[in-house]
Amino acid sequence: MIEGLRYGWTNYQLYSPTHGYSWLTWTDGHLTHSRKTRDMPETGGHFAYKAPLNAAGRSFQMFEQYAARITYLEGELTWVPNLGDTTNVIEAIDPPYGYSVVIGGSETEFELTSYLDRAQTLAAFDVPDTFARASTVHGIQPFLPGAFHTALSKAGKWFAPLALFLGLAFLVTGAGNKITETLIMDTDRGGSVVFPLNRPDRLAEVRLTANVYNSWSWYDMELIHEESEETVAEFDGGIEYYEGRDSDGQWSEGSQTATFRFKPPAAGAYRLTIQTGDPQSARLPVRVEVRENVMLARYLFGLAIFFALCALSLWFRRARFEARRWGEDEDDDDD
Amino acid sequence: MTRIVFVIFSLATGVATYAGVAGIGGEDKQIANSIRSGSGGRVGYIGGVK
Repeated sequence: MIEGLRYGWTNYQLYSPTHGYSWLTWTDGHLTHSRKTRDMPETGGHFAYKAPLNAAGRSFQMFEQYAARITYLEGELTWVPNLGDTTNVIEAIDPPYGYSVVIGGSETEFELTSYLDRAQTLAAFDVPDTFARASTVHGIQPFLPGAFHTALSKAGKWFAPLALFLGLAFLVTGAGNKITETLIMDTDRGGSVVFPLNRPDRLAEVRLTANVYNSWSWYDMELIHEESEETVAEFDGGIEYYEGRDSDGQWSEGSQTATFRFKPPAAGAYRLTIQTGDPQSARLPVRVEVRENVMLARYLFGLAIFFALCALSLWFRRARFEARRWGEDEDDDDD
Repeated sequence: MTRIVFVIFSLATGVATYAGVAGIGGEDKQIANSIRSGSGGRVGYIGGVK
């Protein structure tokens, strides 16, 4: 009986000519093995949740206390039990070991318990495992992650820093090479800039910067292949920037820079023409900068986050396992 | 299992590195569509403006 709730388990007494008597306990699909010990606890005598309890050369943590009552008896035992006999038990854990202080009416006994591998134990007794899976985490059940999760965590620890490093390297060097830069003073009249693009397999970038403030400007642009005089692309875009102050403090929105990235269809010289694209647009000088060989860090950063989660997955699983062990997990309905 | 995961993670890192170098997915949609259409025609606005 623990905190008003009734739990059941079955003890089987074992005998070995060389090791004496011990007990095999079946609890909700878990198997443990206990034997009496003369190793008394160094301190204690009363229960305090999670308090340390040193005994048998191990550092245990107090886990729970309960009243154990015999509700069923069968076979021959080394003492004379009666139905209804009750003892008070204090259990402490250091997975996969446990230590119990069993306080009866006339004596106090001490037990050392170890968690058993269910499949191996049932096989040793030649009992087919047709029983239901354990639905709870036993107090002394060790956390044994599977090979997949262990591998995922191990690989994540190596690859998360690698992906982060590569991502940062891309961030630093990925701005590409500046091909040209020019300032167009009168965007109503329009202007153009000619530049070579030698890597059609890489990203090129057009960056517009204008000193817009609480306003916007809109531009029509045309990308022309110089040699063929063919218009490769027509596009438009704007720059907008607003800032102010309200009850929440200073705020700003937008940017004084707009970036357009593209892959040139072929190597060669290109001309970019730019002109005001909306009658209501702000008229301000616009700086046009063209870059080539631009690289993206986003995939590596995304991968770094994924790898980091993989690395931490084992920690999360262990934390959840421990929460379930201590009954501190709300969701206690799966493995 | 560890070897398999290491190989998969290596491949993923390689693909992400290549995608980053080649700028895959980084193209402005309007320009890419305009280049693909071959007409140089404007196909839409980028974002919105107040």
